[in-house]
Amino acid sequence: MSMHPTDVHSTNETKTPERRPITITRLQEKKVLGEAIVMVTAYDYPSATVVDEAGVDLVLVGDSAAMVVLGYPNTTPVSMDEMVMLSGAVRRGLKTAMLIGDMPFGSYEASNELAITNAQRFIKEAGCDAVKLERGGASAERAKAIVDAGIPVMGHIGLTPQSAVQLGGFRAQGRTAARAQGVIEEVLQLPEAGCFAIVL
Amino acid sequence: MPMLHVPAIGIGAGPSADGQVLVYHDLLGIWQGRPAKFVRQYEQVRAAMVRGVETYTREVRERNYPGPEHEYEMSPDEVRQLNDWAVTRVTNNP
Repeated sequence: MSMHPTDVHSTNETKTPERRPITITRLQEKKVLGEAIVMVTAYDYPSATVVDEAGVDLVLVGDSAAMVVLGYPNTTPVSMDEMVMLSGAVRRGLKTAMLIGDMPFGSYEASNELAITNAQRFIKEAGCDAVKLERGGASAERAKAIVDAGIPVMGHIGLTPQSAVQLGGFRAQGRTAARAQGVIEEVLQLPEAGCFAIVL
Repeated sequence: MPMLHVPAIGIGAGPSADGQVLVYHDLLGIWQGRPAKFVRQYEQVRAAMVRGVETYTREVRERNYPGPEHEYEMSPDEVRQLNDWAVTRVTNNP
């Protein structure tokens, strides 16, 4: 799933020795060994070549593209079509890092079917290895549906920008014992749903 | 997070997470807004980009760019033929 044909990048020489593609198994191994996992966003071909050459493990085409690439005031307006276009460009610039597509606001909340259809677009049209979606609760059910459809899912709990208005703005979450318990309970739902990693 | 058997990737969650994630534009200093507290800015790339385009703009306006090293050459014989043609062209169509 994180393998792609080597000849795709054969014209793209690097000075670094050949690295093996990052897999979910490798990430799990890193966690067990206590090796820090490095993740960064990228949004186009040149940024993808930069982060891949620098040797990061995970690359997220974040819905932050709405703000840093498209100039929207927050992350909610970015569309699936826009995310798929940007993700495809990033795919073409990566050799070894794992590529994760960020499911934008409105692309997964309404139903499991909608969530699966849009997650499949990231895989089939853009060549992503996995998708990420925000929040627990109903999102955990969507995450499970996508995982059951054969697509790896990364969860995201805490300050989830798509629901920043509900959270009362961009502010750190879980800063009292009671609220931190809430965050932990939400986090623990996601491996249950089959998520391979969690952003928080 | 020992309670968690899958990797936890932190963004503003402190150093004990299994990994970290940052936005490309934040860590490289491409974004002109005020960075969040959890961001460490490793480079000021936007300032370099603005400086580069400002210099280009100034050099074009001052006719310092392009320089002789950016020009493509034509052999003296070709230049002479072209000049001859141009003289005829102007003479015939004043």
